Amino acid sequence: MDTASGAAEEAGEVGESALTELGDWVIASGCVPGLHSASGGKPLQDACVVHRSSSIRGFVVVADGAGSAPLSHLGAQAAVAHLAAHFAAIPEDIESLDGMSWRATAAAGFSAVQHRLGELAKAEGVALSTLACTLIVLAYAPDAIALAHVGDGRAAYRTPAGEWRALMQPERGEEAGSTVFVTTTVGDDEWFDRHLRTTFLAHSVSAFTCMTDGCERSAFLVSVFSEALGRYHDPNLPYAPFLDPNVSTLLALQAEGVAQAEIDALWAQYLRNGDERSPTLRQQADDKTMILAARTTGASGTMPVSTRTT
Amino acid sequence: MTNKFGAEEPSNWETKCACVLALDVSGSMSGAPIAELNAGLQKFHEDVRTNQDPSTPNRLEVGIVTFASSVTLLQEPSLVAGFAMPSLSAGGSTRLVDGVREAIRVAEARKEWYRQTGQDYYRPYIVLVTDGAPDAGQDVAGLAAEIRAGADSKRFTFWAFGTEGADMNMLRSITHPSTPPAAFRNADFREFFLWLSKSFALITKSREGEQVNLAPENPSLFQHVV
Repeated sequence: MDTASGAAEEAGEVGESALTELGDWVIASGCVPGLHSASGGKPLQDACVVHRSSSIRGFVVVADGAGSAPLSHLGAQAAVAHLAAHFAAIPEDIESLDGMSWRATAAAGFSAVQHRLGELAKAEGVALSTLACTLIVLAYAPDAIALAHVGDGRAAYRTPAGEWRALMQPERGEEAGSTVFVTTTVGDDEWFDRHLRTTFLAHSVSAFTCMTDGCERSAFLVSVFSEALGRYHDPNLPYAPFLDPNVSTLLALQAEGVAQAEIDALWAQYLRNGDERSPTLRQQADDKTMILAARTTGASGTMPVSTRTT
Repeated sequence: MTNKFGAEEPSNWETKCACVLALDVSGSMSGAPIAELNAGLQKFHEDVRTNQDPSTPNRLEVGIVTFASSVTLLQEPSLVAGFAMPSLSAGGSTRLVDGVREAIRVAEARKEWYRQTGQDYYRPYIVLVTDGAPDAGQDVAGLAAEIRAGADSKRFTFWAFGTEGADMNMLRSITHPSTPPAAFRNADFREFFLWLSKSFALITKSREGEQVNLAPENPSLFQHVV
């Protein structure tokens, strides 16, 4: 099967793990197996891409292969690589867009991914559902941030004043974690209108994060009791005591001149093992992908354009 | 280099998984079998409660329905830390169909409670253990249709296990094709429940939305029924 690697090559470099240092941003990304994959010898079913269009603009893509789909790891790899290639080819800055035009831009990308996965399934003689995965893209620029997704996962941004806010509402089914996948259907505009969800914010942010659901219980409040409601609910609330210290560490490592690859390795190690304050990360059965980005102070850098795939 | 990444995680309520055991305590279970069943239940309770992965005792809610000449709900689904495993006694006939229907009712009621209270949940499991056959006149065909419809509509997952003497043809007729029955040898309830607790440890660690295959793979304990 040539799609995972082939599509990834369309987007740029392909690596085992990724971290891209930006002029105004430092971005750490990690994509590691959970206990289920690690103990069962199963392939990592998450995938992600970090693409820097310039020193201050770029996008990240995250996908989570369905646990019940036998080739979902290939679906996730192909989906992130193809969506990255699609967005890398778009000439407009997101700052020139608005909510509607961002949705149209994202819809074109997701539709292209659906068709690409359909072609892949046909070429391999497998059902499209065997490639099932969720998909999130988050684009950033100095004065705008935009997100589009199908399925679950989480994303958040931090305002310049330091407040974390959710960027997306995961789509979830009745049972825990059941969701829709980018592969659920192809060519059904009504389905696509209903399940492609987009967010566009025309202002600057000081940090953002984007993750598969394997990390959500570490970085978000997702199931708490509400006295007001008299029931448990999902507040979809980014958890600042988790995010802020890690953002500080990320910025400190960058300021100390620690190599990007080393920061990346440390982040992946943390996602894999957690620590005494992060037992959920260590015990998580699901694969874990989390991208954490923070804006440095000072002038923008002049890093070359690059894309790396995990 | 020391890894300085690290921070406090939030306290989220655990996703719940209901497992309702439907246990045959008819007269044929008297003597050694009921003693073994009780020992097995104690082992199950202890193994779940002390599981190294804390998500298992915090996620798995166990309910117990027994059936003989009558059906008894001995334990509403609850975390194992919340109850002491009861000691069962045997005697009477085998109202298996009524017992399984009660287990389905209990599982679905728990699921509805999860839904009403906003708790995340996995698809509930119903586990039948029997050494015999239903009383004459029990609506086996009706139960089979209910189980098939429930499994097809993903309302619950049903598993049936027979010890020696169980009517495996009947069990095969009521189980869904995707979850065929299995027989376990020598009425070894301790080994069976040890295996079951390990299986539920897998379930409570499973990827969300994924149903773990409980098909037994321990040849020393199980005989597959085709």
